[in-house]
Amino acid sequence: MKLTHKERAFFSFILVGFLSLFVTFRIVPIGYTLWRSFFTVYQGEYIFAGFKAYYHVLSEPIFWQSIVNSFIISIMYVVLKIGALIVVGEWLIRHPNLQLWFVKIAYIPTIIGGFVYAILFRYILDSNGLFASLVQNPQLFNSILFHQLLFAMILLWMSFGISLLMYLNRRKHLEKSLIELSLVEGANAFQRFRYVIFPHIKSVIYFIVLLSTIEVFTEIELPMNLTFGGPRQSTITFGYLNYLSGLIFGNFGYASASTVVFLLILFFLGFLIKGIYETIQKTR
Amino acid sequence: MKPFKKLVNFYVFFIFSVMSLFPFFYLWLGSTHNNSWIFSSAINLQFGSSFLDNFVSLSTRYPIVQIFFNSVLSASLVTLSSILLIIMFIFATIFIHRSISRWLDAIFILFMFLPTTSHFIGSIYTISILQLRDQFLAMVIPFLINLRIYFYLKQEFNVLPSEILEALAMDGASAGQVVYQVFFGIYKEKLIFSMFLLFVSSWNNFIIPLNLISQTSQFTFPILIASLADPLNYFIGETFLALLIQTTPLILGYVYFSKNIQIHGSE
Repeated sequence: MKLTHKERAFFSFILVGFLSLFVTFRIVPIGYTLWRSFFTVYQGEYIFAGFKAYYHVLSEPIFWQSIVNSFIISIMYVVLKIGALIVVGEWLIRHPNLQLWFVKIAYIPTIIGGFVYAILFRYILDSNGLFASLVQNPQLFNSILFHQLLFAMILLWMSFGISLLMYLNRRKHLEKSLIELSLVEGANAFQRFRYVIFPHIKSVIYFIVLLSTIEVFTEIELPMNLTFGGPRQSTITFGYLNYLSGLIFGNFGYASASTVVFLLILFFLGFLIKGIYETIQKTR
Repeated sequence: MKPFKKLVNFYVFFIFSVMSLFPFFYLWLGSTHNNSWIFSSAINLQFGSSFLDNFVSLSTRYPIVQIFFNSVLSASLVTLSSILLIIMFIFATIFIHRSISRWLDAIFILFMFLPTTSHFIGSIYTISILQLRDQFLAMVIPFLINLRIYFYLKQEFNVLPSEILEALAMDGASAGQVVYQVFFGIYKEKLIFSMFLLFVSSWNNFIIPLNLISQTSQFTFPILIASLADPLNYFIGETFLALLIQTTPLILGYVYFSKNIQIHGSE
């Protein structure tokens, strides 16, 4: 398609503008983070410290606790999510007349911000609030497992709608004849799922597992507004620790170094999840 | 068995709906009560009579009309500017600088999967250097680039049959007319869906504005809610009311656009 000189100039201007914004608000911040990771703060001034900030991060127990917390919560979250997706998804495939309304309702929490839920659930789950009135077990509110599970369940509630949409979209394309053939062959429900349905949906499951894991590690709004990292620092995620150290305590050097370390851990996690996925593919 | 199955289906659907929607019902409930209701030991799910008191109290404490206007304006500006910028950029990369398009896409994909945590400290530094702290534009300019929407629209544009573009060119359409016919004609529904996502994302923008805006006159609703919900404060009825005002436009917009979202939501 031929463009006039004026049109070319205009679109070139748009191109430069977009790329300028991208460089300014994506590349420069990451570059700044990387640069600051070689500095520490001493008496309000930045001093070049080489890899000292990295050593500080790697030797800091709270950093590793945040990684472990994020890992534990992400396992709970992913297991709950995949289980719920498979159960609800398969049930909806058998009841297509309910799909529309089910997905409509499940999607509502997705559009509301995480901080809204965090503040709302803070009041619902307060030790003197509605949940305490129903459960009547004060020791529950000191339980680490309860808070981590709660964290995972609220994240599940927030993101279930969009994951369900992705699952159903993929699942709908599985040919019915394959299911019918498996029934004729005498396969039970588990065998049908294992050998017919799962191979078809595993790419979506892999994608959801990857995104959900990253989501937990980088979650800030829930620990910031709901649990405040407690009880006993059990719900401090990496994202929240990064936020606290960088923006609340002003230690940009530490926060930047921990971000770089985290990105390396994230790459490792990504390869690990990809490796598990490829192993599952090969053993089929 | 059929009536029994129908009953089971109904109850499953009912329980799921209650679990999904109860928090929003509780939100409305809380906005009509005063502070003591939240922490009363009795379970009371009746609407109260303190809605007006909460509203008056909130209005006295903060300029909520201005804050609501700030939220609407910033979200609308981000939505409209971002979508126009993305559409023009897609057009520019495909028709003018096609050779760099692949390289750009590879870089964009890398940055798209980097979590926000990796750059939000740097973003706040960059915005501070640009003298945008406590400025309205701090909630607009940094959020004009949305790589997910870019890839979503570009992916749709890539599968557009070339015959359509050739037909438009043969009819003597200018570049602007081609963009209009394609994006506002053929991809109108996808555009609406993208704009809804951009609006929601900007409306719910919390962490970065919280650390950039300190002047009450520049607050958006998320920042207002963060101030009210501070554990040292005890403005619970007002917090519930502010949460209700924050969520209601999104739910109404979702109800209006729900068909569009369901069709395109998983793409």
